[in-house]
Amino acid sequence: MTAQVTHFERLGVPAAPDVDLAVAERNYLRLSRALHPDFQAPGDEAAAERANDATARLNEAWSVISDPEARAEYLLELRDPGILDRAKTLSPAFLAEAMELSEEAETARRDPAAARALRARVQADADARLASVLAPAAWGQPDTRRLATTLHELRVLRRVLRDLGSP
Amino acid sequence: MSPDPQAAAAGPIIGIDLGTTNSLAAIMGQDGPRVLPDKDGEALIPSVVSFLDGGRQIVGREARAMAILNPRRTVYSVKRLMGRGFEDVAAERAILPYAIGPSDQAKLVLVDIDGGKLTPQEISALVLAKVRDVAQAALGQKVERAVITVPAYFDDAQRQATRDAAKIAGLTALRIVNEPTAAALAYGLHTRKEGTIVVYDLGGGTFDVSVLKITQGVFKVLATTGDTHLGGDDFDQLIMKQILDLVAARTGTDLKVRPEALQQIRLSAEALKIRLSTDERAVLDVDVGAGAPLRYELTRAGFEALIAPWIERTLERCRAALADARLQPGAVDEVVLVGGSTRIPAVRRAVETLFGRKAHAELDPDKVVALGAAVQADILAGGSRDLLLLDVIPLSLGIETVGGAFAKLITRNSTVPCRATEMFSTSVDNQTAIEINVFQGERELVKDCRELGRFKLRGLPAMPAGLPRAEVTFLVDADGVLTVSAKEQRSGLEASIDVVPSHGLTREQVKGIIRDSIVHAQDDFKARDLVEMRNKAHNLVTGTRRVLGMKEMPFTPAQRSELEADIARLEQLAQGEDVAALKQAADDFGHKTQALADDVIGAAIKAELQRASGQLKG
Repeated sequence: MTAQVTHFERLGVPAAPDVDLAVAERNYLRLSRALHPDFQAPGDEAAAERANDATARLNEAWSVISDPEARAEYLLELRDPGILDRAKTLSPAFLAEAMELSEEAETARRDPAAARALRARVQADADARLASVLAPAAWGQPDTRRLATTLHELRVLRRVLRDLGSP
Repeated sequence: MSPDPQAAAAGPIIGIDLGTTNSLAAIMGQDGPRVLPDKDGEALIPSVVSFLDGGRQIVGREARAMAILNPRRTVYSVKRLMGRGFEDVAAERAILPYAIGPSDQAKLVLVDIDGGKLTPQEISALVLAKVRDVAQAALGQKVERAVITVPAYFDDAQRQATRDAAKIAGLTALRIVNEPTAAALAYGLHTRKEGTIVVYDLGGGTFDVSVLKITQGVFKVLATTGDTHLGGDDFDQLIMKQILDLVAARTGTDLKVRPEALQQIRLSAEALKIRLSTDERAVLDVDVGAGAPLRYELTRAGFEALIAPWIERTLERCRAALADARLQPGAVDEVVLVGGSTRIPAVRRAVETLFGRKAHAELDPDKVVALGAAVQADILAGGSRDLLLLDVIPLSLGIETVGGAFAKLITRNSTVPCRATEMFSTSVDNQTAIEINVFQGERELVKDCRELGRFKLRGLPAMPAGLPRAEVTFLVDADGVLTVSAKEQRSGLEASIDVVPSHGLTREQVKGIIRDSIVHAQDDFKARDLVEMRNKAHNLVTGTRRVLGMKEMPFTPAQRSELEADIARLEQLAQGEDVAALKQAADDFGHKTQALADDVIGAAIKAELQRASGQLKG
């Protein structure tokens, strides 16, 4: 891997957990209009190829930056490459809790009211964890291992929410 | 397709709706997009190709008229077969009257016309060529480039097949656009700042519903679903059945066994249905031969009761699409009606009730997709930069990993163009090639997904296992079509990639088809080839006969009888219709007699010299 333009740089926003999404989106759309293959001279295959590639990179940047969790994971990897892989071990306490949630989700399958209640609870838990990860204070002298663990826990909670289905 | 880039850069870009039932073209004009009609003022071209005796084929309205009379050789609904494998189209096979078979190499579907095998791409190309011809006549200009629409759910193979069909027809498909997106463009909904749009498309044979989101001139498909066997044809069938039952009950005549009568009643049933969109009742007098004609009457209320279960099925799909997009019906800002069947007042009412708002039906629902394609064509031609169309990939794309697991590289609904890179290495020492199997779908195992193709990565440096690092880039372009490239990281070599599409044509196959294109020549390849081959066989036979008759030729009796047998076989084949067999026999015979021909020339010259010297002596 050669030194690459980061997703933050590509969208012209500072590399921070709390980006101004309105600014990022405005830049994304402006750059899309400049680079998109639709706006290249028809018939120029080399230009079309470059445009496809450049726009694909831009789309990838936007998909990461616009998703708070993906953004946090990406930022963490920029600060401490490989940390998400190294900090995969979750605490026994959390694993027990997750196991319990999965069982609850299983029984709530036939009970819409229980499913709704469980969903709200897990959602609140996930929101709180996400808020803690996105807090700029957490990134001053970041405890990257702790952030990585929280992000892994978030992934588990998302899976529970997905299994519970849409509200 | 012009080799001259200057010539290719000139000329208009048209929008084409390549539909299951009808196709048509449109172009952007001074006052917005307009459709391009034929000399009779008709813009809608039935997507039907009929192959006639003598190798001629007709496309469009005339072809549709042949559907009942020439059912085995009249191909319609070929869009249902595009980019599909033989096993995918079991449902279609049961319905379509023409023959469909599997191909031997890739899992392609082939349409069988009297033993001649055609790919769906080639048949679609005939339809596209017809649309192009109509457009050229309407514009008085050569047309070489187009924007072509496809259903939002079309996967990579189906999009690629559409692009190949254009190529075979001699058209460059500058962009493949989703039909619901095009419909929204036709209504100028892209000028909205923000909004959620539902496109309800009930055509002749298919139903699609899509939820689109627009943000600052950028379109995105949030969800799309439908029913590939639900449409206006079902309504015709319902009316037809009532008429046939009436005739059978009153006269004891079963019209089902009479194709001509059946065709007549089918057309009458369709006409009744159309009349009931404006009239409260419609009457049909059925001529049953003897005595007074039978009167069949249908009221609008009666018709609506008949089709109610079908309409409800479309509403169910609408609710499913909304659930996919995580939206309530009330959150929808605009509803767009597409497809001829949305002219039915009951359909319109049901949709408007579900979404609680008036639906857009100002434009002709049969033409709105083509009009939208023309809007996008204008953007590509540099006419407008207000709008940016960001379509998404309808299905996740990934590769097969150990144990047949499906590893997603690009997730569903990612904005196109998009890319993913993946590192590959070798598992055996000195291995120089890696096979990568690419799939599209949402399931966990590749066996539940759709295979797109096999990519063979070649030219890796011979190294111990695990040492080569091949970076493979999967790029899905703005049309939603995949290309794959690879680079070996240690050597910096571009590894070469061979692509074998699972349900499509390789680049070479497309080139081959274009080379002996039935479309370019504007006459049927089979007839043309047959005439050519017959001529060739005839020349070979007379030539050889002449040689056999020459006294100077030193043939052994065995050689003689072998050649006689070959000639007899060639003559027999020349009388038949099997071009392939005739070509094979002629080629074989040609090779065999080539050596012979050289001898003949030698002998002839010798004889000539002898004669000449004899004259000199004399």
